[in-house]
Amino acid sequence: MELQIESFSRREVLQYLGWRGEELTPETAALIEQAAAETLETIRPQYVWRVFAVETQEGVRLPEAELALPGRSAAELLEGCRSCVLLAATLGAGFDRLLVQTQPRDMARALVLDACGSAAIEAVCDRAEEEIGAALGDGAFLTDRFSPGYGDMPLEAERPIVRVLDTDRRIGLTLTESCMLLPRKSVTAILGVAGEARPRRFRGCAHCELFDRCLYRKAGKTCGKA
Amino acid sequence: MEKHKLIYLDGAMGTMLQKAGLKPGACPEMLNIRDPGAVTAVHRAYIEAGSGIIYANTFGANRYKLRGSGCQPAELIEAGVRCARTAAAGTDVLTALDIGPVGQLLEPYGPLPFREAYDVFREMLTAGERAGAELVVFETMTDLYEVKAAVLAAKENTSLPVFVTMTFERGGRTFTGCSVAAMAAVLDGLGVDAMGVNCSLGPEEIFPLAEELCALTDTPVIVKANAGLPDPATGRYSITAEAFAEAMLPYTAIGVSYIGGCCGTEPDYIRALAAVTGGETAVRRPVRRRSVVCTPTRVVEIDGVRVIGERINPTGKKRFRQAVLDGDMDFIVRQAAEQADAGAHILDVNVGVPGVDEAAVMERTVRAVQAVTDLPLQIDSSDTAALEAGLRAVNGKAIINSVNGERDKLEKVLPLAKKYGAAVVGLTMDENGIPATAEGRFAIAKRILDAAEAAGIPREDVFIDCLTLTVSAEQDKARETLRAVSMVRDSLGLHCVLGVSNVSFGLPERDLVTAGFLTLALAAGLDMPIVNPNTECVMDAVRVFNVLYGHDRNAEAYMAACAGRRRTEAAQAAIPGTPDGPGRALMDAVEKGLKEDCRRLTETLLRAGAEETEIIDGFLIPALDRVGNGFECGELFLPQLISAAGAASAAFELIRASIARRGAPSVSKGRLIVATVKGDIHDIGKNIVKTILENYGYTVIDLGRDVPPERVVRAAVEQDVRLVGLSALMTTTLGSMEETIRALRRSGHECKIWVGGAVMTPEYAEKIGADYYARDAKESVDIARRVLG
Repeated sequence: MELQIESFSRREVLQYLGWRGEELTPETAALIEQAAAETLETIRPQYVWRVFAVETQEGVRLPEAELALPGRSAAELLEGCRSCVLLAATLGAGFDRLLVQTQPRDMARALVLDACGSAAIEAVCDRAEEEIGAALGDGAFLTDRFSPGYGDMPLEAERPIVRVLDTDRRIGLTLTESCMLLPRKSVTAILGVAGEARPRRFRGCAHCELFDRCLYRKAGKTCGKA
Repeated sequence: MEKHKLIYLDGAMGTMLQKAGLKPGACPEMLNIRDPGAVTAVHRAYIEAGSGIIYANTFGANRYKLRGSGCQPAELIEAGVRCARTAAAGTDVLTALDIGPVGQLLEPYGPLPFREAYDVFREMLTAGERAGAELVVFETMTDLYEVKAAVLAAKENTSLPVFVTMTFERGGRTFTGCSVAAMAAVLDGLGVDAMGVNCSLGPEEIFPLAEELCALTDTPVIVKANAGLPDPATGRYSITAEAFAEAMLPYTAIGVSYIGGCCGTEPDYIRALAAVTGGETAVRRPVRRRSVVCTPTRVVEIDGVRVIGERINPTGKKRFRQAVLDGDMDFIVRQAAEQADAGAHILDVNVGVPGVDEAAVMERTVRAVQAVTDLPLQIDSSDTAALEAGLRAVNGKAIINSVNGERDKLEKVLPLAKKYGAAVVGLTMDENGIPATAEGRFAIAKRILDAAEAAGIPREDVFIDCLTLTVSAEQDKARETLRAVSMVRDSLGLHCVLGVSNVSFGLPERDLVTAGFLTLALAAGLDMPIVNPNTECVMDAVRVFNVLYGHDRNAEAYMAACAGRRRTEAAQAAIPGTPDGPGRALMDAVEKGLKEDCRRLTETLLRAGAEETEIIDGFLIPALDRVGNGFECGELFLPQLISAAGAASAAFELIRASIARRGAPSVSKGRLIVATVKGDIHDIGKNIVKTILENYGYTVIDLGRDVPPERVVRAAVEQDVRLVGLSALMTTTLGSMEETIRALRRSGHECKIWVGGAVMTPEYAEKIGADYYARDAKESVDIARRVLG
């Protein structure tokens, strides 16, 4: 399914670029704004999702998808959920093309575009989550989204997700043999469907009010919540 | 309206098998062996509903999708074709071998090499033909390059008729950006037996795409639409068999030859389709003949002046020749990008340097160039093997440069144009040289056209080059060329190509003569000038011609170009004075990341007689060091560091060209290798490190991404390189980094290894046996200095 976003977080862009609070020169600020506009112009976000029943005896399993989710992260996320949503989203191949074509022309712009793409796919997932929530209707609450390769969920979990959502055919999203999603700016995720609203976990430095002045960040560290 | 027979295809296989209990995400082709009866039953149901061609259950039976299943493509394909043939026995229904995408993206955006894609298809095709398939359908394709690999594999390894359908989104593009017009141009060129659209959309959404396709090609057209659109939560499709059939009816009025259903359609849909459409379709389709070249994302119609960029050519250019000899693709790729950005419509690619394997270099160059620009290419060589290597590697419809009136040439080159679906440039010369008169050249043009048409090449794909001679040597010949161009345009109606720059050879202020001749030639009928698009007065001549001849409505393009120029001049005037001389200003420009200023100031310094090494060591390196230190102590933000590096690169390029002109050996602080390890195709970090290292004067041998350990070892040993940098971005590829380090150590080759990448840590670097860990590009420079000096 196609989806539009009108903007994405500049703070996330800065964070992906490793910003430590240095002075943002007018040239750099302009570079970021131009790259952000070019990103929005180029991306063709698509997503696909489906609801699956969850079984929790002997670890978390999605029988219909023949998907077992070992590890604590998945168990905690899906605690008390009878079903879950599998989601896959991508910015599309055009953005990869832009990244490749920009590199020999202007490496700095390519770097900033890359960061914009990372921020944009997060915004796409946020929007997709809203649309899925609306489609599931009242009484269904989505948990945080969780992706293979994070926490103790193995990256290999990408394989069944991509297969069961038929992402190749539906949104042009493929998986390499080393479990990389292509196009590059793509996400797969699992979200629990709960009967009541769940507390959200800390979503990272870009969402923290201390982002601009945090001393941990300036030293290249985190406060531990992220 | 005249009618001809409409052939019904089948509907969905997957939908039917899932109804029979196949789990979503499970491999449907396994049923060919485990439950062939179920598969045959689906085929039978479609035959009973009226299908004249059934697609065997072989869509995903390729070696990638079957990995880990314990099954081989050949056995599932043979079993699948057998199921279809069993169902069709005793009828005149044809069995199609059905082949979908490999499921891996092709290079340069993915890991799958073109040759490997070809081989995946070859394996499927030979198995399918052996099992008795009567045609092959490549369907649900989204990548035109993959389609090309598929069609070539079919034509070179089987005698099956070839059908192709691609899957488009609402905007009229596939997921990889391919347009309907590009598909038509390329597949017509490759000579498929039918082409069309399937999947993703319902009958109503596909209709405008089919309409467009029917107007572009006289090849029979196929449409297999979905049963409307799926419900995202359940995957169920939205329209009934009757509604589907009604919505498909308009396709018979535009002359579609094959119709059927895709996802969500069942035998009832085909039955309704047959009932509603009555087996007939319009036979005549008004197709507009036009001259077109393309890449998947850009179609260039020759319906006005189309500039062919000439700069990818080593003739008379020492720096370029050196780049070809060194395999320096980055340099060549920059020539491509600069021409594209200056407004070229097509790029000529010539890499003929004595002593190199031209075919191999041509293939590499074509792939590299088409990664950075979406302009169509003109493959330029006098070597047939190099032409073929280039044509094979091209993603899109290309031009061959060139054939001429010699019989031997015609016999060798025209079949290549036919096979690969390329347009061809015919030079008006033959065994007896270049005729002195326009009439003589016209006669050869006519002969080339006749030979091309006899070889099955449509006349709109034949372009004529009436040949530019040097006016300082033969002053009376310029007018003959112009006359010949007019004759070819007026009497043959063909498009004309001309290498324009030749005319001014040997005269001062060459650009003036070139631009003047170009204007005259455009007026005489030249519409495909081969020029340097980065020469302003050449592009100006084209812009002015377009205004004077009414091609540029309201002079919009002309005025836009002028406005851009005023801005640039204003910006340059605004640069403050440079009290400390151009050297100091160059350092400022590097630190601010001002590429154009760096270029201009370096030129000034070189013209003033500064030594190249003096500029490097006196200004560029100190400026880069200052930026690097600023970054290190947290004052400068990463994009500024990279901008500075980019600006310095522009200066270095001029310095390298200056050194090459003098014929002096290039300066290098030492050679090192960088590579992104096997399995990893995220390479932006590695590319940044490379840019910065090059700025510090190191010769960087870039092995690219997804590089297997043995290639790193071979390059290090063969080229005796003592410093190797490896990058990996994902935790899954850290293993192959470790493997690469082990392979390097095992080889006994003495070298230092440094590693970096998003998930790398100093501790892990030590654990896997690396000598150094670099947190960023700046630290990589420090390491290079330590190891190489």
